[in-house]
Amino acid sequence: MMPFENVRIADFTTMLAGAGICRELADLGADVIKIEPVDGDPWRMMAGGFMGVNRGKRCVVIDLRKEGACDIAYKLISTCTMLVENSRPGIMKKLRMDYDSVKQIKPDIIYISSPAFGSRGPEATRPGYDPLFQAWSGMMQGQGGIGQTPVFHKIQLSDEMGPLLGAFGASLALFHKLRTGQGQFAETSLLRSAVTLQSGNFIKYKGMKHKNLGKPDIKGLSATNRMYQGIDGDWLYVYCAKDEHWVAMCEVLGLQKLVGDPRFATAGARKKHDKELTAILTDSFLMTPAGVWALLLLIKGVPAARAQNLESLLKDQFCADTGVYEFQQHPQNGRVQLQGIVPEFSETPGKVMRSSPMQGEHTEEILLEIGYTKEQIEDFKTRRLVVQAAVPQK
Amino acid sequence: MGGALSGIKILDFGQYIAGPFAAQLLAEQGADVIKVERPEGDPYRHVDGFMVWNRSKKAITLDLKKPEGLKIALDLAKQSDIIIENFKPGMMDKMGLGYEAVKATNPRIIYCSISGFGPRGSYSNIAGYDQLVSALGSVYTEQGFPTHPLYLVLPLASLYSAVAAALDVTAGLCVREQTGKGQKIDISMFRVILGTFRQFLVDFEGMFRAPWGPTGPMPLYRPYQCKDGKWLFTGLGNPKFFTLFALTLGHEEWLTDPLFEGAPFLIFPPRNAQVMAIIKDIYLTKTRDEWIELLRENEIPVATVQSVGEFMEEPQVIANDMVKTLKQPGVGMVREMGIPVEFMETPGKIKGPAPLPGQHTKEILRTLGYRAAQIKDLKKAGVVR
Repeated sequence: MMPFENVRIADFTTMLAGAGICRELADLGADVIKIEPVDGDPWRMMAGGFMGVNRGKRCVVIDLRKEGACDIAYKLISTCTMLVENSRPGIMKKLRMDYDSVKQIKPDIIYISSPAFGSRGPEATRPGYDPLFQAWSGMMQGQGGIGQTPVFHKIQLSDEMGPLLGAFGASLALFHKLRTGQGQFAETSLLRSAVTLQSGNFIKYKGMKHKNLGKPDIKGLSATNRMYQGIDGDWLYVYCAKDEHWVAMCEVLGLQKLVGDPRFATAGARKKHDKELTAILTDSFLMTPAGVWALLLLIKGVPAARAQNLESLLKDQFCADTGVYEFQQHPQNGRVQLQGIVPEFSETPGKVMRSSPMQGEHTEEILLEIGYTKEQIEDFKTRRLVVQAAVPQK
Repeated sequence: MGGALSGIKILDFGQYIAGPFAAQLLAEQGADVIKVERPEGDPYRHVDGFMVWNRSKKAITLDLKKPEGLKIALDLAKQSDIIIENFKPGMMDKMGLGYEAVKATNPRIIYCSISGFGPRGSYSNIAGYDQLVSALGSVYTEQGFPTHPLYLVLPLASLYSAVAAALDVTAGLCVREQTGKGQKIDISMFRVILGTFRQFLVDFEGMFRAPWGPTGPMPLYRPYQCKDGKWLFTGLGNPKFFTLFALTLGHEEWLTDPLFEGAPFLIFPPRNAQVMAIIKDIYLTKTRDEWIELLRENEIPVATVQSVGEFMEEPQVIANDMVKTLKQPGVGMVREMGIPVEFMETPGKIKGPAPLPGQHTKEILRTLGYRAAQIKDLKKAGVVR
């Protein structure tokens, strides 16, 4: 069995962080039903992005603003173990889908809430997106350097931490339910994600100064812990964590004379002459392709690696050998390569169930499953309470 | 009611960030965590983050290379529910503490190994340093300029892997609760960091990727500098906010201008540079605070670019219990992060500051039945500290 097998989830999320929670759980075996509004999840416009956080789910479109649609959603929720949402505080209540309302229908529901700013405090109802938290929490300035251009991280930092924290919460709540039968309410947020990501800097005590390591053009932290360019224009990362790494690197580079040089003899001395050493190493690395250097260094036991880009990563042989990717057929995009399951469980491996759903692709299927008749479903469709998508076949 | 993991015992062989942080997250949801430290100590003891990533644990210092030290570790493993370790693949096996060895006496064990690249394949022998995982995982190149990559100061691969491990270990507990069986869970930091690129790491015919650089390719979704030199980020997270933005700025014509087609996210090169130039000049006409006031009045999402120190003072952060004060021996009062997942029925709890090296050695050995004289001998022989 998979960890979340037999767990059905009512997924009211949109965009990234909330949708990602349910994707993590779908990967672990949950039957995730995305309940999408008629005007759609705004993230659908990001083709690849949407697929990334919605794969493995089924989708039903219910127009909760219409009279009678609420009962359809309640009937669906009563078959679920868990509900996940990431709207602004107050919105679920307006839809009558908040914890207290849902508990009336399903007393042991596990309700996972992930509003951007958290449910309390003066800014709780503000709309929140990942980069706002990158800016506001210190991560943009921390990377760019004080007084410099802030860096907008390409990895949507909190939007990617949110799913892990939310799925962690869901797992904890499920474990508690398995032990006691009790459901409950759990909350995380983009705000909490931004703090978690900065757990190492989100610290203050008397006499402490924040280190502020970021700089506009930073390539590493020291001459022996940074990136260098090879003759082919590609880059590698080298990290001499110990003295033996330093000695071995000098051998590989043909710079044995540096080992005895008092300017570089100890870690302290190397730190003192960091600029000089960086210049020497920059010239030396420029003589051979970066990938060759990385290989030669690794053979000698020096921690090193090529700096890949996404294109080379998608074709990476190690990824192919170890099953990092999967291939799927998607009704609109054809053959799609995407990442497979991340954690490797020896006894209960996860599984990518299906590609991301079209909006309302499974409406009829799901309504039939929860006990509505074909006639009732036709009636709902006529009254526009629900929408079934016409699925193009490619 | 205690935390969701009350009664669960974890043996934490972690070092640096990923392993220790995973165990801390679990400790504060109710698990009892014993940190096993080598005589030379966790290499991150001198780092500020150590205090956070090792909170709420008990610590024992053991020399695992000595047979008596190994025996103590195996005895502790026998009575544990979970083991977390982030040594290089194969290291625990070599020491006699691998999954098979532990499973032999404790088949219910959930054994979580976090490593740079997982136990298989040609990269598995590369040391799992965050920087190497990030380099191979394309993080620095994708963030960088067309001519060169950019190093990122946050140890992202380690941080995400820590939470992923905490999540997957708990999922393992859910399985065990239903089947009675433990298992081995491998977390590859490389796979985890690739997971954070999930929206870009999808490939099909027609998939488009714009180069990123330090501020990204999206002219309506990036930081801008204001008249007073301060920066802000306007988060036009969907088309509705773009409409509000255009109207607020008195540029209704943008809504039909082909230059802005695809707003807010999908304005691609070369149009993105043109739009960027327009917006840049507009932001230079007011100070940051003037902009914030105007944009907030019109319900447009916007944030200041500020420091982590300033963020720690935000009433919003404090109202969500994310700032806690602890007394750390040797340091004094420390303000640091709260608990990132909050439960109604099973609230988590910070059980105490990071332990000193070997702070609970005696106490833990006593639970294994060792007497004072034996413990003294073990100390003398350098097996424990």
